Amino acid sequence: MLKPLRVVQYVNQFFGQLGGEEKAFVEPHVKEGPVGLGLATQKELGDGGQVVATVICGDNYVGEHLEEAIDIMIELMRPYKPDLVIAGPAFNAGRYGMAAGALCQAVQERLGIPAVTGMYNENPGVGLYREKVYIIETGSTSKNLPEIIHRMAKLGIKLVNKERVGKPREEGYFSHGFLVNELSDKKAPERAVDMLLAQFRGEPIEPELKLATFDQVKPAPAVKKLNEANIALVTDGGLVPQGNPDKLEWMAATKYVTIDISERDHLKGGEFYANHTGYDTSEVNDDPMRLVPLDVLRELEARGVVRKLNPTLYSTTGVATTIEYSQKIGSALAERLKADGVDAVILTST
Amino acid sequence: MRLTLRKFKVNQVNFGTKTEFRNGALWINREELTSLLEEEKRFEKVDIQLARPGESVRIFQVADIIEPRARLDGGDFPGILNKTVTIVGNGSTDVLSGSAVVLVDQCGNNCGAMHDCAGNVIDMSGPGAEVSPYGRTHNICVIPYAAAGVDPTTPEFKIASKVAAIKAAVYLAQACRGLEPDEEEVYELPPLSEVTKDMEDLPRVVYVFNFYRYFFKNEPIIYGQAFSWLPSVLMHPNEFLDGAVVNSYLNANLSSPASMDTYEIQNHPVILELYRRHGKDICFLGVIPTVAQVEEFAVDSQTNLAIKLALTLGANGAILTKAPGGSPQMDVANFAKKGHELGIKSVLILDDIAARSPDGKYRVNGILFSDERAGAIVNTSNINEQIILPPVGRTIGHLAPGADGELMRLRSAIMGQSGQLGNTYMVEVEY
Repeated sequence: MLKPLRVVQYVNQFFGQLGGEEKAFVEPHVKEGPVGLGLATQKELGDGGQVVATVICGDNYVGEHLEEAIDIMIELMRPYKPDLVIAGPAFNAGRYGMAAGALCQAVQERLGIPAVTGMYNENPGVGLYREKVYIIETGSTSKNLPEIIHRMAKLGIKLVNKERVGKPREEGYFSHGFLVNELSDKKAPERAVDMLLAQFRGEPIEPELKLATFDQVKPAPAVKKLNEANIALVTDGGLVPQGNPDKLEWMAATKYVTIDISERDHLKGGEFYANHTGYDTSEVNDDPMRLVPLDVLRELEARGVVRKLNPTLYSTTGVATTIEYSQKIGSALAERLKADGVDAVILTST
Repeated sequence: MRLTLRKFKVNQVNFGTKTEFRNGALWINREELTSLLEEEKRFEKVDIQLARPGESVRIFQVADIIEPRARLDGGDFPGILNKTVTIVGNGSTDVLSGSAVVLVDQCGNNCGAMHDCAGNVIDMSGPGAEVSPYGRTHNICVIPYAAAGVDPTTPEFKIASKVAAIKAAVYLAQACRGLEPDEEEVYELPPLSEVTKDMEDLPRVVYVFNFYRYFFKNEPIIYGQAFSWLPSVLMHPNEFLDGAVVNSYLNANLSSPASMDTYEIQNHPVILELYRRHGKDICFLGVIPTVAQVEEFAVDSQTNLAIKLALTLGANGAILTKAPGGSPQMDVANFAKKGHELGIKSVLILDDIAARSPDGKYRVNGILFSDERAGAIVNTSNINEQIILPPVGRTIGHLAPGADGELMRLRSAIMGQSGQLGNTYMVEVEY
């Protein structure tokens, strides 16, 4: 017979049966065995496990002293040598959810054991901790509590036993947000016909890729007087000098590079090329100015249509770039352009 | 149209004094084959190498793969190997099942000197072989060398190499002439006027096969022609199984992703699945090829032509696959959106090119559209995943330093991973 699992339960003042808001300043403390909601966890575990202790902390206290409260709770738990920590569920309670998420992360990191919590999808703890912590999805209230406890315990036991954890949908947790390749039981075309037939039967389908979501960007106001404007050339077409001295990536760029054009009226093929896997670069390699119209801008500058062309050209590679790096490159470029005193940009993409 | 594929199962490939197929073994007269391929004046010579399943061998710089097939009437790959008017997809064709002709590109499919010259690979053992069906086929590698004064990075040399591989595939399968096959598969769809008979209650489905717009002007793709634009065309599914279409190069001076190849078109997984379900779950009407476009109006216009044809055929369901890369997503999504308004339900089969975060995780997929009407998506994996291939004992390909050592490849550079046409069980799941 396996040793029964040692579980520590974390609850707030309410689920620890101390009281409501009036007890929300209660400092972290521990009680032997299951208390309050811990009793429901004990019932779920049956003979397979034991709630050896319940750690209780008021929501106001943890809301105001998060780090300190977590430190104390970890030390309160340590002597009980738990195999698993179950935190909450916190449902839609914001401070409780934030504390449960932070505690689960600390338990994993400092006690080296798994922890599971549960929250409603609008609880701010979900967004902050879902990547690092298993959070079972709950409703906004404590309805269906036995089912929620069942899912939390079942997932926790799997983690303790290092069993394979199923997909988020199967186990009922919020995905960590990691995209992982794995084998399906059917080939793609078979699944495609199945998905088509489901539509004909009017059944819900489960798409295998999420659709895109886009930030809404407010366009900058138009340039009022072009003949007083400093214009910069920027491209994501991967333009680099021969030899690519700054080692701009040919896909998944992590940076931009600068090209000094202050002394130039032309960019020649052979001297510059496009280091980019996302398009047929042969025409740009023949004439880089069909990517960045330096010749035309010099002419406009000479005719006084624009006041001045910025002496630095900025170049990056726009293919398979992560959102994180796109945002970093974009913000850094914007700062540089502001420092250059640029009024408008001709941004050529490919 | 009725096509009989006469399948001969290959479990051994060797060089011999005569090219013949005997008791599951394919014997190749190396000199006869090379002298056939060396008729091309752009080649100084053509080398032939064999790679067998389980061997510690890596084939790199792979440009395409062709299954050896030969029609009994000799009319193979019309428009490419012959200009006679053969109707492919009807009649009988011999197939050396379990073998593949692998074309090795002299410039590694990566002409630019600044790029990794190992290019697209096939490993015959280890984790690379597990990912790819071509780790389990007996591979006959065709390796052309450019003649003096011929630039191997030019489209002309690349097209000549492609034609050489196709010639080799037909030459080998002709060794089956007059022999009894191990098995026969029959593919037949009645004429459109009769196809729905007794299937009145089933969804009427077209397959929309989205191609890449050509990069090489004279590259033979459909019946020996390159298309950057197609008017509405209905093709019979058998044409794809029988040499009407070969895979195209994608890029003149960078790597073409290995997510589609000619072998896979000859064994098209979507077409075979629609045949399998025909009469049971669906009524399969035919195939509409389209070409991925660049400009928005062109995407729209090409979509309109395909939708118009689908409606004319009476289709109320469509399965779509896309050309390699990101932007062709817009072409297939556009069909689904317009189709939705006109009573055609669609499912898109899409690979993903998820960007890799600095911590090695993938968090955001590379889907470019947000329209729910194109939301029925089946995925064929994140082809941007990195796979580490362990060192091998022998390599096949032009000199590439380090190609026999441990090699990191994106899944998109492993032949047979099937990102586009879906011959795979792989799927990206969010955890």
